[in-house]
Amino acid sequence: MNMAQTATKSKNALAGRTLWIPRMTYAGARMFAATFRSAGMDSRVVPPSDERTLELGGLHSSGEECYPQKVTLGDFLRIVYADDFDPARTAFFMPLAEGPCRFGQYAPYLRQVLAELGHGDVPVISPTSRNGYDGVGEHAPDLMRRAWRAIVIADILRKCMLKTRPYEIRRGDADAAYEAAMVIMEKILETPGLSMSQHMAAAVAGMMQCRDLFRRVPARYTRDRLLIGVVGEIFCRMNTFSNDNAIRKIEAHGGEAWLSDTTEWVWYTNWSQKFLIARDGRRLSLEMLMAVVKNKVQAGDEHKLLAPFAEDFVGYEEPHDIYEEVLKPAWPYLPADSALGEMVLTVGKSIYLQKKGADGIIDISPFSCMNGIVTEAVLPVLSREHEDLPVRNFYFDASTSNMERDLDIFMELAGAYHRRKSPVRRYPRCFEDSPEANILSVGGSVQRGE
Amino acid sequence: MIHAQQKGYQPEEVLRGLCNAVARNFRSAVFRSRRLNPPAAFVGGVAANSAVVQAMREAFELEESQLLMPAGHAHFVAVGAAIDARAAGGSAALRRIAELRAAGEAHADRAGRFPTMTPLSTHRVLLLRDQVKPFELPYDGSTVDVYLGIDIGSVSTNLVLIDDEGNMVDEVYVRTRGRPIEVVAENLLDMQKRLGSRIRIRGVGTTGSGRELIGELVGADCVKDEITCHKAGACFIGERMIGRVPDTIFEIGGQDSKYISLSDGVVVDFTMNEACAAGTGSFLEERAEELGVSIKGEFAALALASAAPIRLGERCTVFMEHDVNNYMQRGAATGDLVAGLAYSIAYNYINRVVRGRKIGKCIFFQGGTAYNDAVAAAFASILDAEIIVPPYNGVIGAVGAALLARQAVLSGCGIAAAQAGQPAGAGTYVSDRPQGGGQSRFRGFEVAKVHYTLREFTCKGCSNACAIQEFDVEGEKTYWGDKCSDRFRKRAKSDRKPVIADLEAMRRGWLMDESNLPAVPANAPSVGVPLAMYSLELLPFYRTLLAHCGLKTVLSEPTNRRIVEAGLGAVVAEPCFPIIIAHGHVADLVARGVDYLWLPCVMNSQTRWMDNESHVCPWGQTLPHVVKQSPAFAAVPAENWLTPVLSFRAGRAGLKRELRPWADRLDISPKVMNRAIDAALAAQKAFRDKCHAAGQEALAKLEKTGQPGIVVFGRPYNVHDAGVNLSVMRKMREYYGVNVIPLDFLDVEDIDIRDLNENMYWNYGRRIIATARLLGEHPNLHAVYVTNFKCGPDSFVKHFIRPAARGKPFLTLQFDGHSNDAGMMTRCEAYLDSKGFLRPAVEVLPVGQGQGAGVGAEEV
Ligand code: SF4
Ligand code: SF4
Repeated sequence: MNMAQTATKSKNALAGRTLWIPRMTYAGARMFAATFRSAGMDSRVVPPSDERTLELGGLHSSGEECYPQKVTLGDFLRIVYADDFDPARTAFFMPLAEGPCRFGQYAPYLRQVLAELGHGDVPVISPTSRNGYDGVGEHAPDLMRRAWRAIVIADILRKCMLKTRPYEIRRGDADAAYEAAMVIMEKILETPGLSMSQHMAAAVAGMMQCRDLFRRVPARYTRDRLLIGVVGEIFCRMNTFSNDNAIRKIEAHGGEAWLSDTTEWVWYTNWSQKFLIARDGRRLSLEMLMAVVKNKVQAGDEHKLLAPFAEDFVGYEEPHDIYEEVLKPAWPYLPADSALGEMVLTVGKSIYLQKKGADGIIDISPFSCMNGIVTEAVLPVLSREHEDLPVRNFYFDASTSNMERDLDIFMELAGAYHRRKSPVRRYPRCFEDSPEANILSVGGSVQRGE
Repeated sequence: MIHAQQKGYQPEEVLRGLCNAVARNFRSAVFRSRRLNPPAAFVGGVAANSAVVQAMREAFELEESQLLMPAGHAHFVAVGAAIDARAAGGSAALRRIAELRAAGEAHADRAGRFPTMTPLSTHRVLLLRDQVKPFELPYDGSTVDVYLGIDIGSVSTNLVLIDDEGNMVDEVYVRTRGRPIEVVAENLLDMQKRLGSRIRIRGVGTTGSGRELIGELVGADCVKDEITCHKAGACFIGERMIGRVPDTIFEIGGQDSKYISLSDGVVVDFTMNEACAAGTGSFLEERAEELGVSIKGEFAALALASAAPIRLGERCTVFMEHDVNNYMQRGAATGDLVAGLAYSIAYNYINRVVRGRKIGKCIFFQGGTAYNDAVAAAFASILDAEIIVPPYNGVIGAVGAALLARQAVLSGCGIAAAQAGQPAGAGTYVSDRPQGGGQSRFRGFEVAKVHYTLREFTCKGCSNACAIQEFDVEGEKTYWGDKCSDRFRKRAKSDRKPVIADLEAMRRGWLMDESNLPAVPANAPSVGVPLAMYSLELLPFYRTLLAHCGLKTVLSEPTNRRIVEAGLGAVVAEPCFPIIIAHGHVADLVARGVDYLWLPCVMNSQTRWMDNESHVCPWGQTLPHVVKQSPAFAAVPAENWLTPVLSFRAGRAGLKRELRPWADRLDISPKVMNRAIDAALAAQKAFRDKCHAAGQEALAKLEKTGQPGIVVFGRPYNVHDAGVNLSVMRKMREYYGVNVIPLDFLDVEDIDIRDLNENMYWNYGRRIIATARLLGEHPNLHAVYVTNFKCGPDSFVKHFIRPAARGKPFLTLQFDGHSNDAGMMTRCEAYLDSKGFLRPAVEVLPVGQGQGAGVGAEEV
């Protein structure tokens, strides 16, 4: 098949090249790059985006494409435009998708821009969402499964950071723990030659260390922060440059953010793959069997990596079954049989988070995003039917965002909702410890036992 | 508004229109589909303007007592803040503000001092103005034959006099001030005073959006759109001075900017900036003023001397203002800041005007801002290319108009305009003309004496009901105010007759054809089918299906202003124009009280390219879900919506599976439903086959006659909705005799495009790219690409069209609700003109054919 051929070709073509990973999520990109390194590829995360990113991205696009496209393209072009750029030693990683939104066009367009610049032979490595990103595996045995673990690990670390940072006593401690945790996990993930079970054992041990790093951050866990669910377009909500540090702003306004993670998307693509197979009338096919097996294996891995966090994540549980807990509740607003992609996750996850005790939902999208415009149209009705849960769409591009302006009022609404809502938020143990105990821990580190 | 001014409206009317526009925009852009329970309070500074208050009442249909202006309406928010602060205990609130600010600043960029960019340099800027000598009237006191060019533009009016050799005799640049007639009259008188005794006006050309009005008034020999004039002026200068003609023209004026792309002298793309100040000269002027730098000379000198221009990036005006102030406070050097500004205006122009369009190898930078060498240097540095600044860069449009007037007069007196090979300067002079020919229509300098009358009326030609102004200049009538260019505007002439059938009309007939539908009982339930989106292609399928199920179809009206307004009032978010219109069509049907609304979730199309998906776009797929949630349709009972998922890719069996539950719901037997599906698929196929057959015939005809044709391609709901595209196909055919072929007449299903884009999962995208590829293979086919603003898929698809067409020039027309027809027809005319569809003799410059340096003076 077309895709497989591109992939095999690109594997050989990768020899002697640095594979650049886009910075969709900071932790995810780092874990991914480490994973590729374990398979002998020199893989690095693109440097943090800046004004130059936007200049170059803007120079090679029309401004009508999505903002994330401009950022990823600009980040890659900074490498191409760098003085020491060597086309023979460069490759880019850019996942594909089978539509219907524009994301899947990023890679073909990147190829075209490279060709126009005379670098048509710089490989663009693209696994596709159509088969639930199996293509990741075409570059080395088991790579796909390792990559899946990398995604889960990044999601867990980010979650730890997000639940700690709003409560830290000294500014910067949670971020420092996050950085330290990533270093630990990178070391493990980039180790070559580990069998799958060795890989898992090392990862679980590493994750325990990371967990303790976060537990040791001196913090005052009080129950007066508003829990804000953050949903929306995956790149924009995850990428701090694109959303202009939206999460920190929520925290500065007295909130704690529950950010929809990346694994959710993988679960969704797995589901839609199965759904499409069934719709095409091939319910018992080999393809279907493979999809189910993949699902099982992935679920097992996730379970193992999450196990050490059972106590920490009480009240923070992600949906267990993407269909039952996310897609089905979304059905009356956007049925997943005809509304494809992130928009159903945004809607379904909003409902899920409301049940988990969120006080408000922020839907983050790039300007003119094909998903955001649809969810913006249906979320008001969802809100009405869920106790008037405050829901707000925020759009971003380099120059404008309505968030600065409207966040204050949104937090007011969330506060009012917090006082009248019926769902009850569950808290993990750390919130039960008296605040004083935590205050005492400032400066020293308190071991809270395992 | 600016357009209204050019059209000769009085300032009072313009101001009234402005207030109405404020109110209407507030309603459609801010308030949108929300419901208003009067009374409402109107606060903010604008509420002090009673005309706006009146306009708001009208826009929201409120009684006097229902819209209240509370005391202190201008400071409402501040009052609220004060009350709030008092309630919260003042100091706590202030502390919180301080905290928030600190949190914000803590994450501000702390690295380095200021981000900088490469120093500006003019070494790749070619300043042609340094190479021209000022014109001097003949020493002996004799008179000179000259051509007058007038460009009545958005803000400014330019007048130039050019002699027979193309020398600039006089140039005038003034503000239009909303009074084009007076301004032109005044300046002609002034010109007469200064030069009247030494010049003889041999020809007059007008351009700009006031070209017809002024053209009639002064008696122009040539009235041409501004694109053609800019092109003519720039090409003439290029040919004459450097022996090269531009393929790219950047034009930045005070208030607007343009971009023109040429390919072998053919206008292939053109755009103006849309309401963004950051890409224009006035923005630069304002910033310079703030910095205390004179925009003339000093700005460029300082900027070019800067060793470390500050990187301001490309951002909106508001942000930029803030950034500049911020850097100033932090002690940035003025020179570094102005250099940064020069960069940012160039970046803004590239990102907001050019927007990824093609930038060629011979780039002309003109317009008033081109006097600023620092901006030219910034372009050169960003694009890593040579930038050519022509002389008279502020008035090139008028220069072009004068040159074209000369050509018109010459050809009028039987001297062939396109004689090549004459040395420069040894031009053919109008004064050599055979007796009696080539008389200019110029009425003389005293325009104020020209008698004209003005009559106003409302056009009843369509539901747009435009307010028309009719100027009668000595029996010749010109009109302003029409949206359609249909009834009143003069057009470029063409003696061409189309050789192929009117395919658009044929298709409409087939699409609407009811003759094969089974009869439905008169009391059958009615199903409303919005004549929008995919219905413009799938109507045969829809109607056949419904009729065979015993249901009566009711179609919405064709797109018109009422429908557009209803759509704007019904959308919740801000989708693309076709989706907005679809809301309007649904509103039309709801208002008519149909029993059911047919709004299927169309997912994809049938295709032979099964490697990729063949989706329609996500907004199309989810349209039914989105429409149902609009507050405008809250009253429609849930069971009235018929929204089956239609996956044409899944084929007959898939459709049957999806429609089965709907048959049950409507109490239609599965057998009847299945038969209906078979019939519907057959009807759709028959429709497609008829189009393809007619298309083949048309192509064969063109082949045989050697005539050129224009393929109009894009999405069916853009190409085949005359209410969206302002009837572009009909106009091209009727006015200019163009052989028009809509894309669905070409069978492109077998064309492989995977080498260009291996992942084109949108079926329309695939068809559009495949059509472009087909064009590349037919030398006699030209193309107009019809798209709309905010089209997500097209924002990517368009990048693949050009390579697919192998660089063949095509015209892009991008529509939205406010598209004005004058602009659209200007583009079409310029494209057709340069493609030779209009009077063959009008070909301005047979550029790129290597006639040598002398051609210029001759060719004008
Ligand atoms: S989700 Fe939105 S921003 Fe992201 S790729 Fe799709 S359209 Fe673009
Ligand atoms: S394809 Fe473009 S025009 Fe059509 S619905 Fe989607 S965004 Fe709108």
